[in-house]
Amino acid sequence: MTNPNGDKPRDERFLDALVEELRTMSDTDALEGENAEELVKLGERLLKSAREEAGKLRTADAKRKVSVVSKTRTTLAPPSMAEAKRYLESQPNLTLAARGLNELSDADVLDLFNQAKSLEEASDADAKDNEG
Amino acid sequence: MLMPEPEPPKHLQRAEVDAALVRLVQDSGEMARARKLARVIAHGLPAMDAEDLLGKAMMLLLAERRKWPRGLSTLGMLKGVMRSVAYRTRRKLDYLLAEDLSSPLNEDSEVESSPLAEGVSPETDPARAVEGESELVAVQNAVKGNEELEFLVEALAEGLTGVGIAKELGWDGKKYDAARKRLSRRLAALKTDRS
Repeated sequence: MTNPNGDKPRDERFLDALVEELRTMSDTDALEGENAEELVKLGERLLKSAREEAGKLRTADAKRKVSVVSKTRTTLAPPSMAEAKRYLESQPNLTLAARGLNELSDADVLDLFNQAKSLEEASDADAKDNEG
Repeated sequence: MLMPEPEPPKHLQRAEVDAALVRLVQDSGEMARARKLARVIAHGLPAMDAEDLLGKAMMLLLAERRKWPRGLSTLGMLKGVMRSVAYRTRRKLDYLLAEDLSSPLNEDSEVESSPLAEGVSPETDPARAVEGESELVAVQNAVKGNEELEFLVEALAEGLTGVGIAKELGWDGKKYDAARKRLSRRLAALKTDRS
């Protein structure tokens, strides 16, 4: 027999083919042995519950990210003014206005440094989540 | 000069995922397809039935724990997510059963890191028991005794679909449609361990 999925395990080939068969059959055939009205109710119930659970999961994820960022910030020693400026000058995403570092007060430079670090850490946390 | 349109993201955004799932649940035909697929994949899972598995897949998609490649059908996406959930559940079960068989009194050991037990006989090997509940085996058992459906399932396991099946089995379109309809009915009656 020739087929386009020859290298896959049989279970996987079977499921791929089954999905294709289900997708191409008529609604009447797909509904064989099922109750259409009950199915729609079931689907709405599952979706409602899935939305609620997903919301809780996203909230937990967001809390975890905030906690990672704040833990990292508290463990870092405050940088010297020269270190903070060097770091900010190296950031390609900062606006030109923000790069007029010599015109800013020391407090503003440190504040800008902290903001840039927080963004970087949140972005790293996102990247790690996406890897997992 | 006209600026080129920016390319859409490679994966569906959360609102698009939600909209796709709304379309799914409001369409009884699509729900029937999804539930049949869920029944096949959930077969042999003691911890969840088809509805649990389908709901969990929806939740993971909405929570953006699984990325939905743009262009992939809803049924195709659900298949991948449900399979991954079922696989993880089965592996956990492997470890739990192996732990029970090898050291029933050792309650402190780490379930996730336990190796499969040594010296477990083939008859009691939990991995084998779980493998025996594969999706294909579940459907093969469901059609046992009906020669035409057995042929149809075998052809699907070879990766054949549609005209390819009819040609391979020497069936005309009418016979193929009738067999596929009977298979659909069998899938609706497929029981999971909890149903």
